[in-house]
Amino acid sequence: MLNALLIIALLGQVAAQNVRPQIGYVYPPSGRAGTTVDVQLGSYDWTPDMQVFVHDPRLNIQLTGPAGEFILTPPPYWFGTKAGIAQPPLAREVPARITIPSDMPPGPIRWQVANANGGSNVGTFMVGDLAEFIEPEKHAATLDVPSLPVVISGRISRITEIDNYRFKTTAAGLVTCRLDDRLGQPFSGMLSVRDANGALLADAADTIGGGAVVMFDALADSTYMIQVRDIDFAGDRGYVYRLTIEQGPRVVATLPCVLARGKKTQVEIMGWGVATGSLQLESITQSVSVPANVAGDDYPFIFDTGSSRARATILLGEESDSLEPESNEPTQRQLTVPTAISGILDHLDADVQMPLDRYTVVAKKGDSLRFKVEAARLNSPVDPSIVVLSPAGKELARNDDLPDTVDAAVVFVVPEDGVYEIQVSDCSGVEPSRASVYRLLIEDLESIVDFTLQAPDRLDVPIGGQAELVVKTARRGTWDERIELKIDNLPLGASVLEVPAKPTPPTPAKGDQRPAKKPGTGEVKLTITAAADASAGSQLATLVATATVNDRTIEHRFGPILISTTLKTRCKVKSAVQDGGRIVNRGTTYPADVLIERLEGFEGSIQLQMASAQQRQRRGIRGSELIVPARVDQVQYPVFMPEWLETNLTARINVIGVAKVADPKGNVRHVTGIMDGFIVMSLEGALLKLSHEPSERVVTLEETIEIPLKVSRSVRLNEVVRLALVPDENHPHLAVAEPVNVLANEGTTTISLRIGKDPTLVGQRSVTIRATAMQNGRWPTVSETIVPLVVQIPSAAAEKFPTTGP
Amino acid sequence: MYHNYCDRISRRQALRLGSVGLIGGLTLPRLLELEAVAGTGKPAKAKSVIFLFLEGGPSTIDMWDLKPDAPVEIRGPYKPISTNVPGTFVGEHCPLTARICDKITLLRSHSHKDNGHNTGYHYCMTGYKAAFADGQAGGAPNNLLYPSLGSIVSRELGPRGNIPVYVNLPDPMESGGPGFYGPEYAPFVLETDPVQPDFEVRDLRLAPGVSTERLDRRRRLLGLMEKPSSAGDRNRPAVMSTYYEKAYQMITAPDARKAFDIAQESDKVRERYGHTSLGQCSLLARRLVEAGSRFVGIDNGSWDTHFSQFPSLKEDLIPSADRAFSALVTDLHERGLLDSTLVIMMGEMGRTPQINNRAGRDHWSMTQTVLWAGGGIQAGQVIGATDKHCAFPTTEPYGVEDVICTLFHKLGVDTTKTYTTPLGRPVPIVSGGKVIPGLV
Repeated sequence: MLNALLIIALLGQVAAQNVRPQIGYVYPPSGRAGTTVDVQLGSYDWTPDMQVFVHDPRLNIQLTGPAGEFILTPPPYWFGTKAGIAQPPLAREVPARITIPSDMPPGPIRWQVANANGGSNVGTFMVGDLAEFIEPEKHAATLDVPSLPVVISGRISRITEIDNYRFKTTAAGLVTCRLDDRLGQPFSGMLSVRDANGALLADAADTIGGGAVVMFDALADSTYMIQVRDIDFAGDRGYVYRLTIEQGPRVVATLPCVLARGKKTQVEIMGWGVATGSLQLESITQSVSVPANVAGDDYPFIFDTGSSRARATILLGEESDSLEPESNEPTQRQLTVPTAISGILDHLDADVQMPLDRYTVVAKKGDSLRFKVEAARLNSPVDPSIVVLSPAGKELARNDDLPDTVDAAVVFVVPEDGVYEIQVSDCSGVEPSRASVYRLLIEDLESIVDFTLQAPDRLDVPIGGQAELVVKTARRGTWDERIELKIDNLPLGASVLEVPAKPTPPTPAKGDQRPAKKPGTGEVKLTITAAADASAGSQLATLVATATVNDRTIEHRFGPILISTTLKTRCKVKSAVQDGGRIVNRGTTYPADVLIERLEGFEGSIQLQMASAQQRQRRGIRGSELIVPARVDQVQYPVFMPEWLETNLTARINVIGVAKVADPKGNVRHVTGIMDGFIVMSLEGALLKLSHEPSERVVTLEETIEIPLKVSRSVRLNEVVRLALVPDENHPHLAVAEPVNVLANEGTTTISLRIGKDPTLVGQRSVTIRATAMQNGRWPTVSETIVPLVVQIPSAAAEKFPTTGP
Repeated sequence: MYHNYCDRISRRQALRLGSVGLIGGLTLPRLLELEAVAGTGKPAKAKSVIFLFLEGGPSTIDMWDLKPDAPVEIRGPYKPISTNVPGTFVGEHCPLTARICDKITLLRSHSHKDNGHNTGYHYCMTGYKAAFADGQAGGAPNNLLYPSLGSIVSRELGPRGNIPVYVNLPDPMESGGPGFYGPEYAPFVLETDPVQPDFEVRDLRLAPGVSTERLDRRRRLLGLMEKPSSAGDRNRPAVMSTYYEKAYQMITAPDARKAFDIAQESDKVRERYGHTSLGQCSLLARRLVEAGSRFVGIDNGSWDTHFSQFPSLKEDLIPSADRAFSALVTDLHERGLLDSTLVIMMGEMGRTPQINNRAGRDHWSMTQTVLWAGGGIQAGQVIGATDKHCAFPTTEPYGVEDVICTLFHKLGVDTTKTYTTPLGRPVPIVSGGKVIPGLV
């Protein structure tokens, strides 16, 4: 009968699959150009045979050692409702060295990793040009920052953590503090600045993922404190951040927004303190010359503020933007097609009582026009919306947000000759100001021949198999010629099987696309194969798209795309008991029955280990690394359950299997296999509890004290309990104690504690005593108690040593 | 299975005895004040309820209502066994309950239409359907409007001695809150598992460093602070002082501490209930009703067995429930408490007749067997029946309201009562339903 049930059960199993490696974070997350930085890479499910791919070849990332142990989330933990909040995966940190050339411009550097299981997500490392300060692993409550300007690399590594920094100003003036909190595991950062007396000067929270900025007017030769935390007091090893503290103006926009190369233009630079150096939004106009040969999409330049020099950046384009007409009279705001206008929504419209600019356009019946309002690329606070009104005042088209951006655009075919009104408004709710800049672009689609490309940043192709790269093309204009696609730099043994003749199917017109009456936007699936004898490897490939229209050839490149030829998984791991789970007591080791199914003819040993992505109650639950020998298909996988876990919440753990497999070229690779489901444990009270009578213990250096302890145990735990001191990482010489064994019929005992002699131990300290019983002779059952101590200097020596404790 | 707790003000919070504040941090007086004004119901045999809630939905088709003639994908791997009531069969992993079937009644035609965990819990514990979607309750207790059974019983029957009227073990019941009745009818919650070797109720212990002498000094200080200072004050009844005094008595009186001191039970008795959370909670529940508690709700999770359920049912879940329930009923009987104590064991739903393709059973509220014992019910019988696949009742189905009506009836609670919310909305203590024929 059970066999029949097992057959039924097999029908619904999750398909076997590899576990792709993921990048969690880099710590420190940034480095200064011209330096070499030793970092820890927060890795999720990496194997020892990783390849690293940096998108900018000028920067080098070299792995310098193997991955460390899993870093379990340390206390404190949330219990109750907040315990259900999703947590980032658990990382193993891999040491690496990043070499940054001195001519590397500031900005983000993207990177990926790959192994025989596939390619990773994209990680980010920031290159800067300011002095760097790294928050050390262990440090005092407040860290002193050497001098401004500075970039602080830090992290909020545990729940309730608050990082405190102290800095001094040498001169009076505007100070800007910017927090980048989306460099590793994203968190919502909170910044607050206080003066030396603790008075709050400014604070800001990152509620939309764009970072947090605070500014304040600093006094000369003054001390300030800045705090960084998560807005919800969350914390994780991957919550890395970059905090930039600079003194001087902060530019928020330029007018025009876009300049052409090779031209000299009067530019209005808007920002905080750009004219006077104080905390107010103001502007200054200066002449800016953009070299004709400058590369990239933007141009950084230096400008004079009157009292100092400051940095600004302006976007580059084929033509410089025109400025919004000064008059608000609609007849004075007539635009021609095509055009690009730099405008500001800095006042409320008298009719609608919201920031709104009106323009007019003369159009002829049958024209295909596209109106687009840009704000996101300008880092503007504006959330633009656009409306097109007919000559009779009837609304013809409206758009608020395009996909994945707050920018707005509409495309429509003009129904009749006439003057059409274009309304650009700001839906953000932000107080309108001179920082509320936008660009209005009007294009005649008949005259445009261009397209955009979109594709994933990675693709895994199984060796001997194939995978599809989904490429989205969006034509701008009314042309319909074929777009040729090819991929450069495929991994060895990989090739593109075929390219469809035409993108299919066209999608309905949206604001950023052309009208639906002609095919314009489509999806192409490029089938990429990996030869059966290919090695497992990866390459940063580039998608190249070419179209020839009216003898004019347009080429666009997309990438890099990390393409990997992968080995199929060789194992599937499954818990013998899943939902509902077995009853497990807190503080014990649960030997979970785990089934291993070998696949693809594999017969070797398999290593079981925790997966990085864990589920409920990951508060210290630790899975072991266990080798499953060849021909063994069921084992007991030990899972340790800390004594603080909640009993009103089931606990789960995910495990993966790793097999060493030679690829067709003979290279031995590590191939992972995901667990089908998870191990579930229903928690009940502990079997063993160690406690001490709460009291204040005052001890002196080099004193030996007896600590009475109570060992409570369930009738189910008859093994000898061994009491031992847990080493204190922060104060390794605080105390020593000989282990004590407690028999089953003993409920109380004492442990002798010898306090160290180092005077720096003076103060409020604590020792942790751990009780361990080996259940069934194999599985550790653990309980700990923390004994607070007040360490003092012996009275005879009190005058000799200064007290340093709190 | 996820049933965390975030009461606005729980009785636990109200009972921070011996931690901070005057009289050992005690806010119990407020509770005691309201208990004193509680009405009493009609004369009835049952004085207390022990409500064992198998959260997640027990697979009663594998426990109490087996279908040995059904196809394998429905009947499952377990066989029926006979009981001490001729003609009544239960699952093979319930041998202990099989021996006491003469003292219990199996209600096999319990049925309702809420297949959600949170919503089903809310329905079963309040008698009202949840106003939120399953999984969207947003905290515990999730019954923000409708009071739980325990809160209603607490209000209607009031206290018996210096012992909390309504208790949740070991954790707060997800829908065990007082609803609009307010925190005074919230459960006393342990938030610690009596299976732990160091189990104790911290709320009934003085904080470290606070002696009984110090507590007494605090009480006298409170008396001075509460001394009427004006004519108006003098006209105000010294209500709070009265209840602080009662709370003080509860801390210093041995009754409550003694009731919660499960270590006083012999190893043999504790073993009889089983060294599981459900077992030790059941034993503690017996001690509490013995001492005067009116409603003890035991929240036991992990019954949501969608995947490969049979090993855990066989090894852990069913034996735990079988041992705890049978020991509780037998112990109450031996102590002469069974007639005055109504014992009910159920979950928010049963599970699907069809074993799914991952060797589990999914949610199925159309059928569930509810176990009843004590409180003067007619025992030794099976009420209702289900079809050949245990998919639907073939006799009159009895819903949640019927279960609640019967429970209140056995306690002598007037089921026609209605209370009004602070906004003026009348809420009957049970919305419809009837006493289950044959059970009383």
